[in-house]
Amino acid sequence: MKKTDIPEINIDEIMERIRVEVEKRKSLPGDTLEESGGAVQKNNASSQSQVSAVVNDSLPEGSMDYGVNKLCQYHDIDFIRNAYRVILQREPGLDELNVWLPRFRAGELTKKEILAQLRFGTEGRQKKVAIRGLLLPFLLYRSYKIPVLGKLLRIMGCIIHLPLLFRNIQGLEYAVNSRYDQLTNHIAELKKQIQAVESALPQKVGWPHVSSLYKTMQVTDGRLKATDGRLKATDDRLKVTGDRLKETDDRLKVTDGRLSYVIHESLGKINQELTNIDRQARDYKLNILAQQRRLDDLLAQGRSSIPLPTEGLAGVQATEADHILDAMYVSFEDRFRGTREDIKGRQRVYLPYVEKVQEKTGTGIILDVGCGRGEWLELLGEYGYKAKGVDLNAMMVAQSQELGLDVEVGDVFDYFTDMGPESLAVVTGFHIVEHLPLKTMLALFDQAYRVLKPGGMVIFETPNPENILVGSCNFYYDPTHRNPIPPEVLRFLLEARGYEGLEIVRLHENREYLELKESNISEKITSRFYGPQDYSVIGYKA
Amino acid sequence: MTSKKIAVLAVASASGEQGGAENFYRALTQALNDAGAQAEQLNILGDESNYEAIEETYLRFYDLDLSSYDGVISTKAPAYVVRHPNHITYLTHTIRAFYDMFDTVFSHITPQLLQQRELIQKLDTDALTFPRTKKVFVIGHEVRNRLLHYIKIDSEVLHISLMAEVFRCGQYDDYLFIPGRLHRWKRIDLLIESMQHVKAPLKLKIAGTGQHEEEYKELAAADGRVEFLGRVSDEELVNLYSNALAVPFVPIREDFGLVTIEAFRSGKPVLTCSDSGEPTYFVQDGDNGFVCDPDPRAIAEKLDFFYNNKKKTREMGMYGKKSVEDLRWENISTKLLKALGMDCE
Repeated sequence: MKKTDIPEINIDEIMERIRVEVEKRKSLPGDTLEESGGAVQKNNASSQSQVSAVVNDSLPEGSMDYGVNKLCQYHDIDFIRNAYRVILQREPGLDELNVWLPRFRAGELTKKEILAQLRFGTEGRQKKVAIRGLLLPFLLYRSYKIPVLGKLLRIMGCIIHLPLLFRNIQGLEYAVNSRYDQLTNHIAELKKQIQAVESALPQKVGWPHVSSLYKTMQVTDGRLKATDGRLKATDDRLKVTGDRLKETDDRLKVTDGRLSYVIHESLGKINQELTNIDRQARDYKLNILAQQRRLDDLLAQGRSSIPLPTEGLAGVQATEADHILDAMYVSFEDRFRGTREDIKGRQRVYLPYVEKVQEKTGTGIILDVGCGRGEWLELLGEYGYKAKGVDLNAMMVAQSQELGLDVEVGDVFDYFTDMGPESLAVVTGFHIVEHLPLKTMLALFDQAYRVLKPGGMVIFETPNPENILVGSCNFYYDPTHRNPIPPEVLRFLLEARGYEGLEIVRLHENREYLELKESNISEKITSRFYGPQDYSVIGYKA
Repeated sequence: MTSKKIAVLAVASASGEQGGAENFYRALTQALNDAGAQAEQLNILGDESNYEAIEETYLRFYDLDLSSYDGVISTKAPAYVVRHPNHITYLTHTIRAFYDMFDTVFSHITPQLLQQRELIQKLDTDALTFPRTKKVFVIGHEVRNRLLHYIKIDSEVLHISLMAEVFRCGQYDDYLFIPGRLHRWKRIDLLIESMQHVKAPLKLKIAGTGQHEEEYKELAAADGRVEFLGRVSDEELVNLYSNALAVPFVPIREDFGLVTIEAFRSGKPVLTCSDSGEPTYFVQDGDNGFVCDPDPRAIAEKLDFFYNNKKKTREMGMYGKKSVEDLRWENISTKLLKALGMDCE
């Protein structure tokens, strides 16, 4: 909608206008603006006629028969004007008024004398208007001008006229009084009307604005009506569009519902297919691994059935040669690996895993491969688990045996060969995989898998190279270590050999790490230096 | 610092009926006094019954001499036409018949009416512009949007709070409660119609008086469940709120509606309508009440829900109570005094 601006009127002007309106309403109870406005105009018209009655009261021109007394009814300027109109049949000039009025007002001339002079002057004689009763005063007037006799005549005339004079004065008094009253009333009336007019009009300044405003508003009104019509048309069109939109919307909703049903249905099918494929893939993998293992067993059997000429002395020699470094490794372990209690403390973390797995496997045997000083076996014993160990280091085995642990010297592969499938609950190996070449490591995983009962578990702990200090330095404290194994790699290898539910457990952060974590040094950097130093990978047989 | 004299300019209703606005003036004055100012509530008669009365009301405020005050806070229309060098407004609403309700109030629109509307809006625009008004606060988004839409005056929303923190939560009895002025804009008739669709044995208790009272009573005559209580005392009001099941408040584009806050303070969920204005800024559908279409059946359905799920109703009420916790008068008075340049040390 287009708005009419009223920039030229400010709030103060509007308020003043309102003030006038309000005050007017109070003085004229029950009148609306238009009505009172109309009333004012009407009063104006009637007052004009009344005013003219006072000011312009005159006899119609052209009547040729006048009495002196009639002409003498008027007073002052009206008298002279009237006399001129009647006798000379024209309006008096301003100069003429200026001649007559002062003399008349000063009493030098009477009305009759003026009338006589006008009638019997040069102009009056030409017009020849008949005025009854004017000749005698004229003659008298002329006779007054005769020396001595004139004075006598004037006195006589006065005496003769005395009664008439009295009557005239009396009449004059009434006339004056009644005219006076009339005038007073009229003035009061006028005053009232002026007030009404004044209150109907805003201030002089405001009036033009109001009328222009009114005009503007009329124009605006016309425009508004046109706009209104157009809006209505637009509205109708919008309604039609709206209806159509609704229809479209409904149709879309139906389509939407159908589509989402189809999509839902298809997705369900696809999901099922995927699950099937997944299951098949897993079966294939397990099949292949099982066949591989069977092949390995067959090969081993084949080898053992062929007599080896070097077996016997050479084998013993080789075994004994391997034990030469045993003592050194014992002292090495003592120096670098940590105290017995430290190690046991660290390994407690695995107890819940062991407990849980035995829920599935029953109280099966736990075999610790490379059991070293036997801390883990001791810990398991303390908690009532049946645990065995095997280690290549004869000295360590001897020490463990002294502690009453069930430990054997030997190669783990020999150990496993003698063992039937599915005979163990848990196989553990702490810090052994990093000593093994890849092929051996995989063989170890495979053998462990074979001897584990369904649901059985392996735990292989190894140093964590994610810790930069471990990866770059500490790992090499043990000269028999081959290379660090990143957690994801070990997890992958185990997964590749068929283990499931694999979990990386990062362990043993440096004591300083906890303190530094609180400080401002970025935790990310700190963890690289002081974070978990070891890790293990735990896996389960399906 | 000596405390400053502040005039709180209130518009007294010509018919003398009491509604939320009257409480608002008192609370505002009280809050300013509590903040250390010396505030005084000035009640000036305001009559909106016809155009002539409106003009006179404008003039009455325009002519006020408040030079003995250090600051003036005008409230309702047209108090803001007051002339004072330190004047701010905290607007409850403009004369709505010449704004959003124009088409509703006047069935036949004449050029004269359009002229009147333009004049009123022009007056309001000028009056609410700096420096005549140093800052415009409004009680809610409805009023702010309206000012922006009709006269392009921007303002800051400052939600109001209650005068007295007397409300408490009692039982959840089987009645709905709605107090307030019985005016067409409060749309009590919609509630009365909704009651005809309510299946639960619920009563609707209506408190208050007003110009459409008879009309409403006539409409409800056949329904024994609808009860008109007339004017109630403050104490009764608190009681009625405290034991109500819920408060259905469905005005048309309400500018604020203290009822919402009172209901929440009393731990009652509020049902309001999508076109009810400011209450929809407070009521979160399904959390502390319901916002539904202004349709008797839709409303009745939710009213039945309150009855059939009392545990949920109570939870909604409690959430409502929590949602208006921050509405406090001290925060309001601080802002107003700051705008008047009277930050209290």
